[in-house]
Amino acid sequence: MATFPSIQPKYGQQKRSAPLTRTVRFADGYEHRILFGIAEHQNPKVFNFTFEVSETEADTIETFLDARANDSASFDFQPPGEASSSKFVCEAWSKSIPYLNRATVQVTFRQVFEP
Amino acid sequence: MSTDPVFSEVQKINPSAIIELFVLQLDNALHGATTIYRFHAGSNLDANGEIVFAGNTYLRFPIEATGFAYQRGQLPRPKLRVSNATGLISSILVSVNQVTRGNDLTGATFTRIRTMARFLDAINFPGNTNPLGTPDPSAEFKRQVFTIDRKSAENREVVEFELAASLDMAGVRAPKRQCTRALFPSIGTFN
Repeated sequence: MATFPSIQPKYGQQKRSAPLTRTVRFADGYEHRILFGIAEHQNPKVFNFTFEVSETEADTIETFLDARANDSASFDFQPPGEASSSKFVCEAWSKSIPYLNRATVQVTFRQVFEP
Repeated sequence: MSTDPVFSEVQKINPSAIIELFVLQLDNALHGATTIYRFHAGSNLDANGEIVFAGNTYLRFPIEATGFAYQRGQLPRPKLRVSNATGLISSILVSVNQVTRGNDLTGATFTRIRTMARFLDAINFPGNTNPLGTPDPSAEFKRQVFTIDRKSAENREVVEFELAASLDMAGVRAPKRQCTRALFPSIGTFN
């Protein structure tokens, strides 16, 4: 299991949660909520990170993400501010080069639940 | 099997999560073996391993079955969709077709088991204790047992099956055989 290189993203990360709860609610407002499947797995987090790093570190990130795209495996990553590391996949990322030898890498990590 | 624990659980304000498990059993006469495949579309909480219920391990696998609702006047014909990305289902199809040509798993028994997270075995959770409740291997909703009637699609990504109740298969009627006087001369005679 690969671990994401120890490069920290810049502040301003975004964490999205959308629990997959089934809600049944009709006219007068009282509702039932039920989960299908293990509850903790019905709440995958999606993170947006921006890395403002040197060209070398951006290459490290890109090499890593390319390798994960090639073996379609998940990777371990501990987002800043989280208590423990989780497993993620990165389906799309982009890189721009604003200055000489500086790079900005924007990634979207989606949490997965697999060994 | 007992439905009392799950029925009292679903009446709570916030019931435990429903866990859907699938069992596919091959038929020896049709498929050459009575292999049992167990699937669940998720993983457990102990290092994301495989779900264990009543001592049986359920392979984590993208699988979905829909259409179990009873409509008016007809038996449900649920649709089963299984991932074929790893080719597992195709390889099962190939092996059963070597026993019966063109069989495509028809006649295999498909069971849908629904239980709740609090009744899962303790091994599914870190520390080997179920924090949601007491494991109960017999607590489940009524099992829904269907027979695979037809393979409706197979491609690289997904295999689709149509399921049917055992009474709903082609050429099956109830009663299976009528007793008439032509075959059983003593029927309907009084002496």
